[in-house]
Amino acid sequence: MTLSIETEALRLDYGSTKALDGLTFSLGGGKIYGLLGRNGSGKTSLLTILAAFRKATAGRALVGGRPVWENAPVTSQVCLIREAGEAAGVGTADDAFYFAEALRPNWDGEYAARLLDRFEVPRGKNVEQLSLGKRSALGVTLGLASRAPVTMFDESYLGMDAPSRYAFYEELLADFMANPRTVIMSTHLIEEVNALFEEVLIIDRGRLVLQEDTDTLRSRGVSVTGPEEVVDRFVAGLTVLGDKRLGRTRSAMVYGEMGETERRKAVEAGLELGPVALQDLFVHLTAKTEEAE
Amino acid sequence: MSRGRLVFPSRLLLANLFVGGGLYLALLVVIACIALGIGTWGDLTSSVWEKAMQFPRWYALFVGVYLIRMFLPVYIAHGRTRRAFAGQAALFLLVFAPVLAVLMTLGYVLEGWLYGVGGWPHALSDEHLFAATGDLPLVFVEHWAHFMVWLAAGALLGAAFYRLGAGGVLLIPVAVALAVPLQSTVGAPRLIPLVSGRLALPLPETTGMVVLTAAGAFLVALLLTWAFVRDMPIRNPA
Repeated sequence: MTLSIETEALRLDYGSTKALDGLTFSLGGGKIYGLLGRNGSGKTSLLTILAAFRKATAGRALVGGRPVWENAPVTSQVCLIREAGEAAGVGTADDAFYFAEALRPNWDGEYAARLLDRFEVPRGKNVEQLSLGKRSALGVTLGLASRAPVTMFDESYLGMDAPSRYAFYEELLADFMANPRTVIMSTHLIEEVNALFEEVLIIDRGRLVLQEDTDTLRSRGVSVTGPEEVVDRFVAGLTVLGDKRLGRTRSAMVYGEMGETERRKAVEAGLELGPVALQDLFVHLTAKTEEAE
Repeated sequence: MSRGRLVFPSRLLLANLFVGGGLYLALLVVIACIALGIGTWGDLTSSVWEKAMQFPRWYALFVGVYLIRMFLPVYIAHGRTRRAFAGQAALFLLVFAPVLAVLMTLGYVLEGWLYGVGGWPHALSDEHLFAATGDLPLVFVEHWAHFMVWLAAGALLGAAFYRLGAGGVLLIPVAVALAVPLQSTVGAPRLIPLVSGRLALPLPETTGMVVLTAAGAFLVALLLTWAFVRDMPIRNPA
């Protein structure tokens, strides 16, 4: 089961600070979405409203076309795991499972137990005594095994070590294939996770900067590699996000789609064209909104 | 999972009974040891269980606080609404208070048996709704009333501190005010430290008034708790 997500002029104020400032977007659902943004951009605020952890100051948040706030048929379909996760705040992992089993309509206890074994989380130890990595692993376990049609992870796997994070990505993808749903992942580890994303939302200062298919977004940038002076000539007048040099070889990252004519010219000039890292595009796009202020 | 199972907060109740049961057994052992010690080496003239009844009340307050502090975020994180949680929490308190009262009443029975074996007088030293430790229905009513109020006052304080942070202290006088009428009807003004002796109200010390003040305080505490909880944001655990 997959559910769509929509927001309309969504606003959240913390006193005089606008965490979300008229955010409007629509997600069709049934995909893994990447939610990117700098610190304080409003990612967590957005997710907490979508999970009814917090009431919006103004605007609308809809899941499956219905308002989320205090709407039991909707909230029961949504799961948000923030860092270690509130759901893990009761004693041991076994205790957390005890409540998840009763409260989550699609809870898969066997899958949860298997994940906990894979992440090597001790079941009988108090959650507060676990390392941050193990608490995070318990959090993502609760999120995956909830099988909620809308499952959101807000940096919940940052505390995990690299092997555990990769295990989580594997499990997420496998479970998503077996049980399609709408997944939103908020992250700063863009390069590590972006292969999972089908669509990306970038928000900055509480506003939507961009919403695009990951492939389309990637095509907005091209790396141009070759002899320094040839690259210099080729990228003159283009928006260069950054470059790397090794001896007399330069690799410049160029922002903007490149048409067939330019591509042919580059090849004829002996230049190599390649993709640009999503992270570089993200840095460029969020820096642009800062300049525009 | 059936919807019927969700209506009754069975897991909430079982989780708290598990912890509360362990603490109760520990309290029984400690009180028995103290009574035996005084009886053997000193002069045991009244109920030790009666003196220890402060602890279960503070425990009830703690349960109320943690009901909001710990379980509300868990329920919301698992997709329950605040309204649904409030309903389950109220039902839990309504069931948990008499369960605790039964356990406390049973404590008097067990202590009475111990005192009987030792030949010690099982007398009371404070003023109560009940005149003797064997007056079990009134022992139950008095403890039920206290637990109703202290559990609900704990929930109010839990909500206030969760929402307001340190500003939650502003609700402590309110919580005390909720307990004062009951204290006055029971006739034992010392049960809240420092203040209640001075705040005792001239209320009739009858069973009906005890039930009425307990139910009233419970209702007011829950309404105030709901005022905090109804749109309370869930804090980031980090």
